[in-house]
Amino acid sequence: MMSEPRYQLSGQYLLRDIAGEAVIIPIGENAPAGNALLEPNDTAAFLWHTFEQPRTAEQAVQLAMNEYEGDEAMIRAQVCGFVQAALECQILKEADEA
Amino acid sequence: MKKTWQAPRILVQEFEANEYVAACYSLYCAIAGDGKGKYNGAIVPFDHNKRNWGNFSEIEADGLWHGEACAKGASYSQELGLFYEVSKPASKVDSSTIKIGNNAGDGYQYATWVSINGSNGDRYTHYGYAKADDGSHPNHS
Repeated sequence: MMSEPRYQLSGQYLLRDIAGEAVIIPIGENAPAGNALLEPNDTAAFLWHTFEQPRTAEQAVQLAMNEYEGDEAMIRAQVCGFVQAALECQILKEADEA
Repeated sequence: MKKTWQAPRILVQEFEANEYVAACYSLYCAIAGDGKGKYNGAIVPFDHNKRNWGNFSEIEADGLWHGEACAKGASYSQELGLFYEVSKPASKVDSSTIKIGNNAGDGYQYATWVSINGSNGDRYTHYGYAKADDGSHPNHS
């Protein structure tokens, strides 16, 4: 049986708190958004921290449900969408098998 | 108490990889001034015999008269996202024309650039010095 993929931060970006605002800074030579600063909103910053260690999308959904109020189906869909977009931007990568 | 969920979003603010803009230089014209921000007190025409400046050669005379605005300098306005002459806000510097060259001492570097008069579109060619902004400039970025 195949296990659900786990994701973690790629290391191509850093998140820093600058004057109270979260800012994601590209540091990797191959970061697709190399000429940009990324400003995550609160939930995107939360998901960033969630993936500081390898987690499945479903684990991220459950952590989000613990932290936020909202419709579970919507949160699940939006977390999955975030994961896909973050993979495309190389913010996240698939974690190596344990 | 739980916070209200909002769709996760990341705003991407792309910036141009222009080292001169990023470094925040001020530019001081040496035609009607000393090239370091001091105006000589009179408007003067671009000297047609002037061809070399620092490590730059073949400077093209623009046939125009230069005065106080460019002598006192242009700097990057963070608010406007453009280089502007400080005392003549209608004149902006075409940032793609800025060339910064060899070290001229005291923190200055030889430079050439072009500014555009906002009222009539005249393109002024300048030679002078660039200096990394120290925060005291009115347009400081």
